[in-house]
Amino acid sequence: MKKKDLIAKIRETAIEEMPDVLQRIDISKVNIEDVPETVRSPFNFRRAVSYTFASIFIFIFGVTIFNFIALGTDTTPLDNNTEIVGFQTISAAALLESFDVVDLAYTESTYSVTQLSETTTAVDESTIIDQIYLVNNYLNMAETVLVDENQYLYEDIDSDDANYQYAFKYNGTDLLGNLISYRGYYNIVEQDGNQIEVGILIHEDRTYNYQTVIIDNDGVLTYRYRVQLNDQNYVEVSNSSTEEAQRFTYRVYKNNELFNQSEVTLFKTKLSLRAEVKITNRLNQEINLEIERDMSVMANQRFRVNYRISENQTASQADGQFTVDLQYNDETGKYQYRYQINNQEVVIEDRPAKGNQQATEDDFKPGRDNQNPFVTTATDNNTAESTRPGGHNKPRESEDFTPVVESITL
Amino acid sequence: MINYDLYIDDLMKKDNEAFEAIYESTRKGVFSMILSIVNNKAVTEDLMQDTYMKMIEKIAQYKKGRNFYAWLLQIAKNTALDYYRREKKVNVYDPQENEHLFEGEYNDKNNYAVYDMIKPLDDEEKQIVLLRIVSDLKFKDIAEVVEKPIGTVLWIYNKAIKKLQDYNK
Repeated sequence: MKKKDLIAKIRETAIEEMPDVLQRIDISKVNIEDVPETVRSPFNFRRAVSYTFASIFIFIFGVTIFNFIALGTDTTPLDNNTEIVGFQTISAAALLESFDVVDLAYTESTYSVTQLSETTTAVDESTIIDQIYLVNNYLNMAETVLVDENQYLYEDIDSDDANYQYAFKYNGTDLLGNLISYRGYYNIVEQDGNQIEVGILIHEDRTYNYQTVIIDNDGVLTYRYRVQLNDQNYVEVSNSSTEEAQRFTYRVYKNNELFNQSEVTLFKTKLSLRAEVKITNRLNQEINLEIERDMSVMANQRFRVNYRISENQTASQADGQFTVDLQYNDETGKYQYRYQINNQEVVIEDRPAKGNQQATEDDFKPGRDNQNPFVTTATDNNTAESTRPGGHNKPRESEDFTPVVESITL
Repeated sequence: MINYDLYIDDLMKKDNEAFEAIYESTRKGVFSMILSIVNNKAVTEDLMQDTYMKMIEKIAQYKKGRNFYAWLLQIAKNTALDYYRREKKVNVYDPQENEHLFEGEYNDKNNYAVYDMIKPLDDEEKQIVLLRIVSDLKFKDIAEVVEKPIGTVLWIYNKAIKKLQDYNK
């Protein structure tokens, strides 16, 4: 039966059977309840003091017990459906933006390798360095969405764009402690009998189109989000979570061909959000990354990564560890990712620009400031207090820092 | 859809005209919500009556500016769930959280034909499909009632329609 006919039949049957109980209701006999008043008891100083001490004791005891118990790993760190849905679109856009800024083709000239010392080691870094570009795309994604639970917010908001009925926002934090902000706007449209979302994602001066894509595999529907640079270059993400793990699958397409595929699994240990990334490249090599973000110094955060590279699911070709932080380039005025892999340092150029305003606690509280930050007229009121190059690699010299805020018309 | 807030003051005065306007505009939604939980004609009629009585009882607690229809549908849902707690004397859970408790078929002969048409759906799917198809509720309002993001509601709806197509071949 066609969907349209099925829906019409259900509706017709239900309306035909729907009872009319109006004549059974006599509202004159109903007592309207008063709004309950808040009863205030008279203040008792002795009771207040004893409650305060009891509360402090219970709080300290509870925190101690909580820390003792919370040694394990939380394998479902995203707390609700808003976060799960938001994570997919924002992470896909972040993955795409790194491909956008840097040519999807691999070129050696866009990174430099520096030998840090003359000491030779038994570990061969060349295997991971060969993959540095691909790895860097995922580190850029991690910088956007892999943060402590108090440093991100996904929220459905009212749309302030007349072209779109619905909206949502994401606030996160970059490695410098600056606010990362995305806005999503969408409509619900019917396509091939299905209801899908069609909209845009805005971040800084970049706008991506996105929509849901429904794949029918022998009657089993799979739901994906597609975030696009254009018709030929895009990322599709799907939720492949189980009850035990929150996991998302990414497919990166270049010129409509599958460029690489990956699976990202999220974990939370105490207050740290971690990710396990499994990437399959075009050479059929599998690159496994365990990424943990160190946010102990907010203005100078870093990633610690354990990696393993194997071919055709055989024994490991290479494994090891590296750290990643940001380095400021005086010549370009931009930040770059700096990898320290054993005794080599690799610097990737052209890190996609993120926020330049320091994040505050209020940015991660729901229901605050839902105006689109990318449609305001820029002013030159940025002072050394509100904008900063940040990071220990760049001294604070406000005279040579140019704000990146632009006036954007949608 | 009417602006329900315009009728609140008159409802507080128990104005019959205002009540009838609200009733006519919302009874499809109230029926859909109760039907997704109860498959019995006599009980459904009683629960619909109870829902509207409770709406008047609690009208002073409703704050203008909120989503009145969603507020009313929550009353309908809670009324249907309370019925089980009272009549079946078992622990009853919200269909959004515990689907398995509502799997049993009722032997009462006085059932709805439309319920048979949506039989293969779980209770969450029934709720979303009926609210959309029968009461024409926007997905945004359905999302508020079932307390899920719109994207999830769309996914559940599309999946449910596909399931019904296969069932009704």
